[in-house]
Amino acid sequence: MSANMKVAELTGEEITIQERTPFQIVMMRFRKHRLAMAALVVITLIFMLTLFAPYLANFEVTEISVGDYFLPFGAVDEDTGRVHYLGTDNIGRDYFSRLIFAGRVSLTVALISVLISETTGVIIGAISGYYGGALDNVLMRFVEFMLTIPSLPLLLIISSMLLANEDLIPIPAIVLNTFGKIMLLNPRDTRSAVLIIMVLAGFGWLGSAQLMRGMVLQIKQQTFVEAARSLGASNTWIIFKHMIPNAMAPIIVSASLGLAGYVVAEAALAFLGFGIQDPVPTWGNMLSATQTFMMDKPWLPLVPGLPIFICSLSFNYIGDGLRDALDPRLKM
Amino acid sequence: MVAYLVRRVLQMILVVFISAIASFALLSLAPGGPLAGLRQTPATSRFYISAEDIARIRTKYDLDLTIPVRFTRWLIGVPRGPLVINGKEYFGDLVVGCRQPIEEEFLNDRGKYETRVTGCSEIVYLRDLTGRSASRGILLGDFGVSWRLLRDRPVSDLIVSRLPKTLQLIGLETLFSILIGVPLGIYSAVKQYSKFDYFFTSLAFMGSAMPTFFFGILMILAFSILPRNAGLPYLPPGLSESVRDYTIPLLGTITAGSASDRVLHLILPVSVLTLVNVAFWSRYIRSSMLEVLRQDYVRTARAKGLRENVVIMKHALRNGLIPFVTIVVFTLPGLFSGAIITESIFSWPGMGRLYLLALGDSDYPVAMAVFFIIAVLTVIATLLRDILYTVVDPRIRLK
Amino acid sequence: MADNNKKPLLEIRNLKTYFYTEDGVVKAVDGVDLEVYPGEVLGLVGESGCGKSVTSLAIMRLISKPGKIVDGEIIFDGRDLVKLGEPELMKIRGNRISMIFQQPQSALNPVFRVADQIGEVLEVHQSLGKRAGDARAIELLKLVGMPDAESRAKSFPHELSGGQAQRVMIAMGLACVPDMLIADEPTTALDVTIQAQILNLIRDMREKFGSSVILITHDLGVIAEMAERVAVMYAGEIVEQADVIPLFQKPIHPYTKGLIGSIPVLGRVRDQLDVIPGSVPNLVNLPPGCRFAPRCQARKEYNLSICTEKRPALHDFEPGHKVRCWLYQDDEQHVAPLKAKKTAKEKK
Repeated sequence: MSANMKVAELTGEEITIQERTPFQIVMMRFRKHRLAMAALVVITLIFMLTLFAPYLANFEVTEISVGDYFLPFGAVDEDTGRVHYLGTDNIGRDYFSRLIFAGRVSLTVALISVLISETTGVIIGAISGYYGGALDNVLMRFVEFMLTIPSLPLLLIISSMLLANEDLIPIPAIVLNTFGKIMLLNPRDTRSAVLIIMVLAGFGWLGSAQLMRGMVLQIKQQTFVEAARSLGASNTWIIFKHMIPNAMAPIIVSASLGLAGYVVAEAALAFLGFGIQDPVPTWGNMLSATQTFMMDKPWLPLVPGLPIFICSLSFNYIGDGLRDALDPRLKM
Repeated sequence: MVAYLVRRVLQMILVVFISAIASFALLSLAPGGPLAGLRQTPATSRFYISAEDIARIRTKYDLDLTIPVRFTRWLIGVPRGPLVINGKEYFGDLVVGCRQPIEEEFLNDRGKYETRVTGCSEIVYLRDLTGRSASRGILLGDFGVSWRLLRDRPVSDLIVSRLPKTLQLIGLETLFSILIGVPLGIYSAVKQYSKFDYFFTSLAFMGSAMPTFFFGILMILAFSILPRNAGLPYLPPGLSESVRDYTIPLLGTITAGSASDRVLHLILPVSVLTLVNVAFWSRYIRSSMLEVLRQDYVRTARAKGLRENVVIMKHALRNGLIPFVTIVVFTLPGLFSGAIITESIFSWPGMGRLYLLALGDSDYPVAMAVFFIIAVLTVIATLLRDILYTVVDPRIRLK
Repeated sequence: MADNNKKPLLEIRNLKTYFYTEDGVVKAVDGVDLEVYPGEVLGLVGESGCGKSVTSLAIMRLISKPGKIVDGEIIFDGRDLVKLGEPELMKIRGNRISMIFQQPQSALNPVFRVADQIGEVLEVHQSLGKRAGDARAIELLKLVGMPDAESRAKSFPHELSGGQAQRVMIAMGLACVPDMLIADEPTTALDVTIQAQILNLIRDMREKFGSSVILITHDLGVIAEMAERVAVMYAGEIVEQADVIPLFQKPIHPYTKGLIGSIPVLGRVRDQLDVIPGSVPNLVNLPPGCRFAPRCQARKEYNLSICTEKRPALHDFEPGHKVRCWLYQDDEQHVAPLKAKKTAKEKK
């Protein structure tokens, strides 16, 4: 037992003295991580901006002011008196309006991808770890192989195929309508966003499945599972009542880090031209478009680029803070 | 050991085969290809394309064949005609495709017209394949011909022309990032809680959150566009060498294609990749070393009276590098697949950009070839990792 | 065995070792006084988390961040280890003082062969070459009773059993014939049958090499069997210190009494074992008075208020028997109810 371990052991006894619920302890520890708190504030602000986008935006996303190309920050539209807070792009569309609507699309895609991939990963990982055997072997070999293949070529090949062949996977109208309402897109444009979610979540679950499986294998060793079984609990009951809740901490951390990953991945695909396409604004395709003009307008890439970086950094900090709070042993 | 290797190689073949099927299936589902934009036009049109023209192109690229037949021809170059045993042909009448499908337009339930194949006016039989040109199969290293990027030229020509550029970029980047990242990670772990460690981990944290594409653009802004606009020395922002001579303040005129021209073009993309990966490697090594440094045997080594640098560099590092050595082999697929995003930002003519162009242009033989190479290299890297594990960690034995 | 005319080999005075954590300063060792005489076996006993291991690491000067030795002296062979620089310490560690640990298998480096790990000590302290080191390693392995020493020398640690690994650790610890061997819970992680073998080995080696041994354990049985003198630790301080027989026959500190009372004795039937109520205090916010006061029954019996107000000092109760308790010590406004003379009378 090293000196550091000793400290952990000693401080652990503190819990017996102070009476706090686990949630309070987590919150207390999270608040100590100042950068994570700051990140939480920043992300909340960005969420608010995108949530109230329809009320904050002066212009329609696709509204083109003819002749008003590359207007500077704060320029006023002569006819209507509306302000282009962040200027206009190469065909006269308002940057600020596009930026907050783009945020709405990007963040929705990231959030839904995380929800789907973590849920899938948790269930598959739990089943694989709990039942073991041949199923586990095949599943985990597959997951391991997929994780070792460089992910970007794979994402690109799948999304290029899906985007080129829209009818390949039928998406129910209700899904399109719902997502369309969230992202404020028409069903046709929503389709490409949903496809990107499918691509991202389709690969995202691999990591959390591996994580979950590892946790389940650990928990399986513990006596309370034996106890539950001896009391006649069914496998499903044990998985959902014991395994999954007990393995939640690392999954929550991986989900918040996953959000960062998905924001960047969605932007990367759009940046490379294999994501959501132009009339629908996303931070990635806006950034990609600025490349052509950055020789003369070097500030342009910062407008869509910074939000991507800020979101990625914030979700990373939040994940870091959550890890410190939920599982202090992992703290580095 | 031998039994293990045999079993692993068999497994590898299986995995390669499955990934070949998967990548082939994915891309045969996608429309486009050499026929994209080609529709039969009236004879009066200036760009007259007859049904026969389309059929010819379909035949040329095997698009008239059914998917399983196309797949085996792509994979191993068969069938090339009927089976001949003792001079006698078998299965010559087997239907393997359709040269001229009958297409009709239907109004679908969403109110759009769509074309559906309703029959075939000219069936392709196995015997028709005799004499038709075919690749030797991707498994034998023949990737077929390109559909669009270099129409009708072998895919391998494209790869051969791009590969050196990627090897250069990724090779240098991997070398630099490991040479810088590993010592930084070790130092940071050893000096845990120090100001350096705090500063450096914060920086590496931000570096790992920074998307490559944005970072690349920032680097172009900072080291190419802004200094150039200000009349300061700058670095070229794209391509691997210049087309014509150019002048850089202080450095003078750079001859296009000269050694200095190439080096200047390498600096930005290599730096972007290096910095991003230094963040990755140093964080990886740091956490692996921190894990090792709190192990009992490190304390034992100190208790023996060893010098601190012997404790770190011999006892701790030898263990801390175990996961590193096994993950480092996974840079192998990257050596060939390139860095797609960086190559795209810097218009670097490497494999990553080739892959992107091929996907964007529906040049599927090229895309499939690149993807297949990546998959095969990944499988090889996995085997290498497992073998390396046994070399660096005596606790692990092949079985 | 405590021959007070002899000069101690190791003398610890007022040792304080604190850990500066986010949750506050953990006073793991807070004013420990201890001496070890040449050739003796000193048992250091206490519950887990009481500072035994930290004390031993402090002797080796192996306390690492966020821990720090904040006060005190550790005088070994006339020199204060606390003030020594790293180069001098390295000449002492593994050479004049060596240490064996609780988890022998994780205390050996998994990637090096056994012989190399033993040979390394000889290489550093006796400038032995690789071949001579290997030969000596095999001799040492034979000495510690390793079966099939030649082939075991070439093994990796994971190929050894726990008992074998501890033999390797002992061989490594004794390689340079140290003046002192610190054994930190050397048998806790081992099977019961192996435990006895290892303890016997430590005793044999002590006789062969004449080294002093500090035996750290929470197991009073091990202490009774091995130690000549015993120091009992509680919450970062020594509460009682005596020769082994007086300590077991006539423990005086309430905590020691509790510890000894909690051992089941074969053949003696009791309704229930004595248990010390409560648990070790949080070492960040220590009680102001005696650290054992919150759990002390005797304090309540004698209705002492000083126990929660003022910290008692370690003082001689009888020659060679020290205790840190207000039951036995007077203060300005406090009269100890069980002073030394009284108990001497009671004994009659």
